[in-house]
Amino acid sequence: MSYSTRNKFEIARFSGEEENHINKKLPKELLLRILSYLDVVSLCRCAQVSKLWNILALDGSNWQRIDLFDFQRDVEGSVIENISHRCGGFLRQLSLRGCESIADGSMKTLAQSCPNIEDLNLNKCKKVTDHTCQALGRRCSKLQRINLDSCPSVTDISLKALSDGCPLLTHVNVSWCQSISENGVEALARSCPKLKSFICRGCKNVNDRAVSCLATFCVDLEVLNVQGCDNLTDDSISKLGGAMRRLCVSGCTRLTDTSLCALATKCPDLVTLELAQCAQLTDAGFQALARSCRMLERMDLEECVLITDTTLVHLAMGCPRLEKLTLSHCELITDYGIKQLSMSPCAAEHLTVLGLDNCPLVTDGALEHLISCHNLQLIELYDCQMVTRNAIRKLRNHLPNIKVHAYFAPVTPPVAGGGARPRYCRCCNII
Amino acid sequence: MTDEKQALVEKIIKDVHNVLSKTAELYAFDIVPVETNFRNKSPVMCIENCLGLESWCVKQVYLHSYTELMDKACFQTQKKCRQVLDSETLLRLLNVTLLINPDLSVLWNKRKEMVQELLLDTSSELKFTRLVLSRKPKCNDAFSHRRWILGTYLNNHQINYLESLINTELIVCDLTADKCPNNYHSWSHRLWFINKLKNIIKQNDMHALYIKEYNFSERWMSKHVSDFSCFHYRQFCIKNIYNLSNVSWKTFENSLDINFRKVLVCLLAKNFPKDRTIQASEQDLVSYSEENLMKFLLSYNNSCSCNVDSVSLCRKFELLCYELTLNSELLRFYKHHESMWYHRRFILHEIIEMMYDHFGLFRHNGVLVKKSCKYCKTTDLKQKQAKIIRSHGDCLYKSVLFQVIIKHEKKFIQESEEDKHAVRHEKYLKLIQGLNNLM
Repeated sequence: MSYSTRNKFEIARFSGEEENHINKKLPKELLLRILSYLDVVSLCRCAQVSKLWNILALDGSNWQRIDLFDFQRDVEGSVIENISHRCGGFLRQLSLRGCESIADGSMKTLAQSCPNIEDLNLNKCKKVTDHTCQALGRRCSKLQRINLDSCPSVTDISLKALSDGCPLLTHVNVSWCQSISENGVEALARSCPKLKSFICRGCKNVNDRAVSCLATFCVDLEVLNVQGCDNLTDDSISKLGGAMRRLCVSGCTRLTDTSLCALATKCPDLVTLELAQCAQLTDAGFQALARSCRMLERMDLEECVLITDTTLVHLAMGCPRLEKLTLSHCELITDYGIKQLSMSPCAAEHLTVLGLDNCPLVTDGALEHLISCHNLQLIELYDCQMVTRNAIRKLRNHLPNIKVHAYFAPVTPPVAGGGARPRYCRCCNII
Repeated sequence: MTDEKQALVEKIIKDVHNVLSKTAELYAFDIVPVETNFRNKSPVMCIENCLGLESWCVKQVYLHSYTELMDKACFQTQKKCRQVLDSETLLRLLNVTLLINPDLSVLWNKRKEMVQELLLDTSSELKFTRLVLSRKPKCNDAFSHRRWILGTYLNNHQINYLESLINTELIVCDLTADKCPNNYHSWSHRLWFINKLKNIIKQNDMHALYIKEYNFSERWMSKHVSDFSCFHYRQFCIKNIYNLSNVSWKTFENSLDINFRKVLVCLLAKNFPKDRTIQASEQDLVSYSEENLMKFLLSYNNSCSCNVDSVSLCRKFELLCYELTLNSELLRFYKHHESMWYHRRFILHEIIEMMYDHFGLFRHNGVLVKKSCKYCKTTDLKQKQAKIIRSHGDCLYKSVLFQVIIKHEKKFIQESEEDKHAVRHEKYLKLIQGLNNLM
């Protein structure tokens, strides 16, 4: 453990005068080590104990990983500047999630003083613009993870700067940065071959070319989230490689069964697949998928309106690990499909969450079948108007820990205590 | 069970939010009395751009959203709250809570903060307040929020949609006034809005608006005879009409289907004092120029050499006399309505004040006092105050117009004897206006 040289003299001076045993018994290195296990709040408290402790607690080595989210979010730029001066090269990980008043100026200071930062989270720092990313690209070549979720001023320029300066990047999140387009993504894909996770929810300009680049240049890509990129077609999705584990293409309304078939052949290890609002998908695609992707655990099929019980039959047979299945607004699903699902190998052990809201054909019968799903913890039944209160009560009797989400008014417990009160007031009794 | 309850409530809040954000033309909200739900059906209804919430869930939803807001939105400065809501959840909760109970100023203030932080859009705020007002048309907080929004909006922005903005604002006032009789908040909002526009839109447009509002208030007044808030607004409109330019006055006269001069002459002819020989016939009076008519009615020469704007003076008298006949008509139709009698007081007060003003007098502690001419600022200090006042006062009381008005009032009070307000009106004129000796 080392601490900044400029403080060594001061520590020697203060420790001589201290009466406290702990300071005498333990060497400074050990104290520093102990302090390094504390969180932000405790460190700040320790810093108020004595001059010695102040120096120790605020030593940069204790501040390698900082997350201000639970501590304080209305921080001003000066706080970040202080942090970056104190931590210097020690800082590895910084989360400024939700610190909305942070702007470019202080982020530039940070990039200059903390060149070793590896993980930076700027989620919802709405004032951050391309200048921050340019500074990061110039200084912080070790950056591996960057989260720019909901920073609307971030554009392709940022992605280019980051790809030029940070070749080690593995995780990138640019969700809701609406100006991001194919050019930025292509630059990133070309110069960051180690990329494992790319998330760009709601970036409407991300198109087939962008995703194709990611698929060809980043062979390790495991996580891809292109929710709401409605320009995407089967062309790019079919190019995704075998490393893919978690894929979210919700809201990519142009996708058809071709994508599903391609995923089935190329990405057999898929664990999570979100396909909400892909309304063109049919049973045929899911048949192919269920045959080869046997590791699937989570599937979101909300508003895949064309799928029928056949899909459920295939999923039940092909995906024994299925934990979470959302079938909201799949209006053709009937009790038969649920019955098949409940008889599958996944049902008894794995299935924990099942979303059936707005499936108008689901009736009380479905709930009776689900009794065999011992692990079921949550079932969503909003707006399934054929499901009655009695059926839910029966299901609860069999699965006491289940949570049922439906539009039934919660039963209010009868008001207790009204009848138990003595009819006469206490004073009358005494007299 | 509590988890499920919370999930249900949050789902309902989300449903409401979905309807609010997806339906742009939403114009009404209400709570639908459905006490029990046998079917697993959403309590949030959206039919023909109206949002409804079934009553069985209101209590739970309100409890949840209110406590959530109070615990987590940092309203108590003492208690340092750990969890802070993000702006979207905060907005969702604010929407639902305020729709159910709009009388929470704290929450409205939170919304204002959000507008200042650009987390909320001003136009969506206008829509939301409108929705709130559709259920609670008397909610002052919603009106004041609207005023705040409009104030910042009108001050800071170059406005492209001013016309539609004015229209929607007036429509909102119409709807709220219509839904709830005697809606003071609605009418004072309308009044504030017109006053606010004075600094913003061009004079011509403003005059057109004054005329429109005058006509509107007349229609409204004759349908809502005991809504004094409306009468108050009418008085505001009349005062605005005083300031019309010549051009606008022409369009104003053309827009009406009555001739002001004829109404005035008719009133005069019916109540000419008997003891005097009137040379002018009705036709003559109609064709008189404004100046001549005023000379005939007031027969007064100002002591100083200033020119009196007899045209505008004549217009004011015409306007007020029309108002007086209108009021008499309404009173004959709808008896025993206090607010109309109060409106009559206003009219007479205006007429009498105007005459005092013309004669260079004003009432101070119930006594007439001579004031300096407002144009040339000369005071005749040589003559004694008392003497001048006596002579001017005599002039005033002998003028045709004054006698006509007094006679007309006497007649009207006799006519509506059975109305107890008539007696009060007489007392008002005698004691408050100091016409005891003359009636």
